[in-house]
Amino acid sequence: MWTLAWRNLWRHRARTLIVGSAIALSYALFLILIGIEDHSGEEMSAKAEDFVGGALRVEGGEFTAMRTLDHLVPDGVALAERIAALPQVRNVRVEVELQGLLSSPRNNTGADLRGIDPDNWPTALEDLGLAVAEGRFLHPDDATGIALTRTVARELSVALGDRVVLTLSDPDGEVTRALFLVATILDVEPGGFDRIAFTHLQAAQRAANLGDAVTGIGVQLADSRQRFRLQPDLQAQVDQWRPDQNLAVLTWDEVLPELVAMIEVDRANTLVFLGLIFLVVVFAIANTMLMSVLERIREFGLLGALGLGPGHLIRLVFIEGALLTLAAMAVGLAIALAGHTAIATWGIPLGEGGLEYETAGISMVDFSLYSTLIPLHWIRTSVLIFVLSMLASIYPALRAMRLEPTEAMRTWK
Amino acid sequence: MTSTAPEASPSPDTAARPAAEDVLIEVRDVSRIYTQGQLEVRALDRVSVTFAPGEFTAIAGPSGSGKTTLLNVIGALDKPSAGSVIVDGREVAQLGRAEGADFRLRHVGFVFQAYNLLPVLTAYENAEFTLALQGLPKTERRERVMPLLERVGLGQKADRRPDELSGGEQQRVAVVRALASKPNLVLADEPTANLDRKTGEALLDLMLELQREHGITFLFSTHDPLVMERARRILRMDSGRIVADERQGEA
Repeated sequence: MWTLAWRNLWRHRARTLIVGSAIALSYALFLILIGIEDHSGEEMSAKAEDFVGGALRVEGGEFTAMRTLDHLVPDGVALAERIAALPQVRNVRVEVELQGLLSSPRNNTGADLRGIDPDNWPTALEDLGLAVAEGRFLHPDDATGIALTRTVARELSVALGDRVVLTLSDPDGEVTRALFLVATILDVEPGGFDRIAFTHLQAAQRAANLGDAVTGIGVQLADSRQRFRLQPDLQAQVDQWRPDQNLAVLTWDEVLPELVAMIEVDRANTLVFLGLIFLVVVFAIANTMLMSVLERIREFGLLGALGLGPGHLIRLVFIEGALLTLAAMAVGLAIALAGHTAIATWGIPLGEGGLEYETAGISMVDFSLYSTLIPLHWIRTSVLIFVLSMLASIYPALRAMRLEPTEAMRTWK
Repeated sequence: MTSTAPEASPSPDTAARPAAEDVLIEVRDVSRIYTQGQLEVRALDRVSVTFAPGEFTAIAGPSGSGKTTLLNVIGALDKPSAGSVIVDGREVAQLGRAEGADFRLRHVGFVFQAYNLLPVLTAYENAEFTLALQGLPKTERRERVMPLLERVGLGQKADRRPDELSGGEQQRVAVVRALASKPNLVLADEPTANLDRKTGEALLDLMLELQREHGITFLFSTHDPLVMERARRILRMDSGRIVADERQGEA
C-alpha cells in the first residue's frame, strides 16, 4: 500500500513538486517566523526579568498594584539570603524602588529611583541599556551618590557633584526629603529607561525611612521558564518563614501584565498571518488529492474489485497525502534549520533606528532580528501543520471511498 | 477443437441442477433492475443457474444481454434487486461494501477486458497485489507468484511496468494475479476482447491449462468464439435471461 501510494504521488511529477514545494516553503516560513518570534519573546522576557529583578519577585502584599511604601518586605536582605540558598535559585536582587520628585535649585522632575546592591547586580546598567557617560557608578565611597540619566540631569540642569533632593512620602505617609550628590551621568539607548535613577540600597532605605525593609526581592532562577512551576513552592516557603508579613511571590508576567499581553498579541498576529498562508496551502493539497482521485476513478474501481474495501481506499488516499506532506515537511525542516542557523548567527538587520517600541515602561529596541529554536514550539507547529494537511485529504478520501467499483469501471472505460 | 450440440434445455433457467455437494455457485431468481431516468432496465430478469466446482463456463450473448451483470452479482460487485446468490455456501447477494470486498479478496479472482493492472506497479507487484492485501509474508508471495509468472512466460519481465508490456502480456499478468491467491472462482469479463486472435488463443489455452491444474472454476463473459470453442459449458443470455445452457465435450 505504501509503495503504491508513493508511486502514485510521482505520476504527475510537476504537480507533486509544485504542491510539495508550497508545503515545504510555508512550513519552513512557519518555523523560521516562530524562531524569530521566540527569540524576540525571550529577549523581551530577559529585559522584563532585568526590570523586575528576576523571573520571580517577592514583595509586600499589594506593592505591584498600589506602588506605595506601606507594602514592604521587612528585613529584606536576611530573607533574600535564605531564598538565595534554595535550589534552582541562581541569584537574588534586593531592591528599593522609590517614586518621587527630584529637585535641584533650578528645576524639579519626576524620577524612578532604584536602590540596589551593585554586588548582586553588577550588570544593572548593561541589562537596562544604560552606560556611564560621566563619573563612577555606585562607588562604595559615594554613600549618598546618585546616578542620573542625561535626560533627568538636563531637566534638572545639574552636573557631576551637584546636589539634588528627593521628596517622597515615607511608609507612614509623612513627606520626607533626602539629599544626594550627582555621582554619575548615564547615557540611555534610544527609547530606553530615561527616567530611571540609581543609588545604594542603604541610601534609598534611609531616604524613605524604610529601616531594613525593601520593596522587592528579585529571584533569578536557573531556568526562568520554570517560574510558574516554582512560584507556589516559593510562596509556600516564604509564608512559612514569614507567616505574618503577607508577602507575595509574583512572576514577572504578573508584575508586567501589559508586556505579556503585548507578546501574546504579537504572537497571535504572526499565527494569523501564517495561518492564512497555510490555509491556501491546505486548499492546494486538497485540490491535488482530489484531482489525483478523480483522474483515477477507473483504477479505484479496479482496486475495489480486487478486494480493497472502503477502509483500504481511504487509507490509500490518506497515505498519499501523508507521504506528500511528510516528504515536503522534511525538506521544509531542512530549509527552516538552515534559515534559523543563519538568522541566529548573523541576524536580519533592520537598518538604522530599527524597530522601537515601549510597553509597561520597558523599551524594546531591536536593530536586528534573531532566531531561537525552542524544540517544543517547532514540534507543536509541525504536528499542527501535519494534521491540517491530513484534514485536506478527508474530502478526496471520502470521494474515493464512495466509488462503487462497477460504476467506476463502467463509467470511465 | 470440439463442438457438440447443446444439451436439451427447454427451460434454461430451470436447467437440471447438479447435486448440492457439486454446487459451488447457486444463483436463484436473481433480478437486477437499473433505473435510468424514468426508464427501468432489467439487466437480469429472474435468472437461476448453478455452477459446479471446476467448471470452465462461457456466458455468451450480445451487448446488454446481462453477462457482465451476472458476473458482477456472483462476484459481489453488484447487488441484485431480488433473489439470492450463494457462493461456496455463503449468501453474497446483500453483502455490505467492506464484506463484499473481503469476500472478493479471499475467494474470487478477476480478469477484466482492459486496464487490469495498476500502472505504477511492476508485473510482479501487480501479480502479488492481492496476496499482499491478504497479509501474506513476502517470501510466501514470491514463492507463489514467481512460478506462475514463469509458467506464463513472464519470468524475465517481472520487473517491467504495464506500459512496457504488450496487451497479451498484461492480461497474462492479470491471470497470474487472479490465480495466485488460489481463489475458488475466477471471473473473467471479456478477457480477450482487446487481444488479437493469436494472443487471445494463447491466453485462453493458458487459462484452460491452469484451470485443469488447479481445479478452479472459471466463468467468462464473452462473445469471442475462441472462448466458446474452449468452454465446456456455454450459457447464452439475451435481455437479462438465460436462453440456452449448452454443454460440450472436452475442448
